[in-house]
Amino acid sequence: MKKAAYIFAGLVAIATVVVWSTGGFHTGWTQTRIPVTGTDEITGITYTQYEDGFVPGLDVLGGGLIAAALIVGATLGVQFLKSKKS
Amino acid sequence: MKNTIKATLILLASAAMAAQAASYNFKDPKGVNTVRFSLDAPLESISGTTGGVSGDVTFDAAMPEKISGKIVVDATTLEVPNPVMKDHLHGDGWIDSKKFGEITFEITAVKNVKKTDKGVSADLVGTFTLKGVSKEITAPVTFVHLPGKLEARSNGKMKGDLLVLRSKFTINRSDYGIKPGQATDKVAEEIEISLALAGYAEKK
Repeated sequence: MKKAAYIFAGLVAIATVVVWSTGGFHTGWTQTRIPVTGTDEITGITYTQYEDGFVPGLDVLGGGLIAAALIVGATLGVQFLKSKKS
Repeated sequence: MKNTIKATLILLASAAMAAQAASYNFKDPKGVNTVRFSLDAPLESISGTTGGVSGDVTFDAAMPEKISGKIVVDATTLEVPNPVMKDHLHGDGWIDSKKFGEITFEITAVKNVKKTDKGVSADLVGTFTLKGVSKEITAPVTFVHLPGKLEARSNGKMKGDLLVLRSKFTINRSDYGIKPGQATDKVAEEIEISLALAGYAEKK
């Protein structure tokens, strides 16, 4: 049971890093609107428009790693309580 | 007789010069007029844009110092990539876009007009209004007049001229009552605004 919990925590941490990497290791906040730049050929104006999308940021990375740490922490806590009872 | 001829010639010249002034509409039918804003605080950099630009500017290529008009930005269209940050931005603690739906700049004076090979540069003095507070600011601007280019830009639907306006200036959010002195480690006091706008004057 303990081993399964550690493996699960590890998978959560790895999955979080993988998800974060799909967004190019974005170090800002998670983006759900992606800026796309273009240039108007007549005026030369460079403009920005937004498209719907998802770029995970440090908040997703942090949240996932904290969740993995909580799983490990909870497992250790349960072990500690069990050892105290016995 | 000579005085009458002189007066007539002056009148005709004035009429001809006045006829070159045109009103340029900045509600871009192609929807690419963009105003960018950025804030660089110690803990966080924020940047966003808005495309909700409109307004009218009267401009005469022969007399650029006579420029007048107003640019209006729909405050509800300000966009940042993060959804939570966007909610905060539009909330009543920040720009309160529901209550104060327009950000405007109205030209009151023109200084330091210079004609260059790239266009006309000038310092525009005007009233900048944000969150219901109006302050006089000076913004350096360059104008590029593109006569006859409206047809190409509108795919042949309209004929006329284009006026491209570029500027970059800064304001302090405290001056406009936007959480003065608060959260300066995450939201910088200085807001850098840069814009590149195209207005059109249709000729019928």
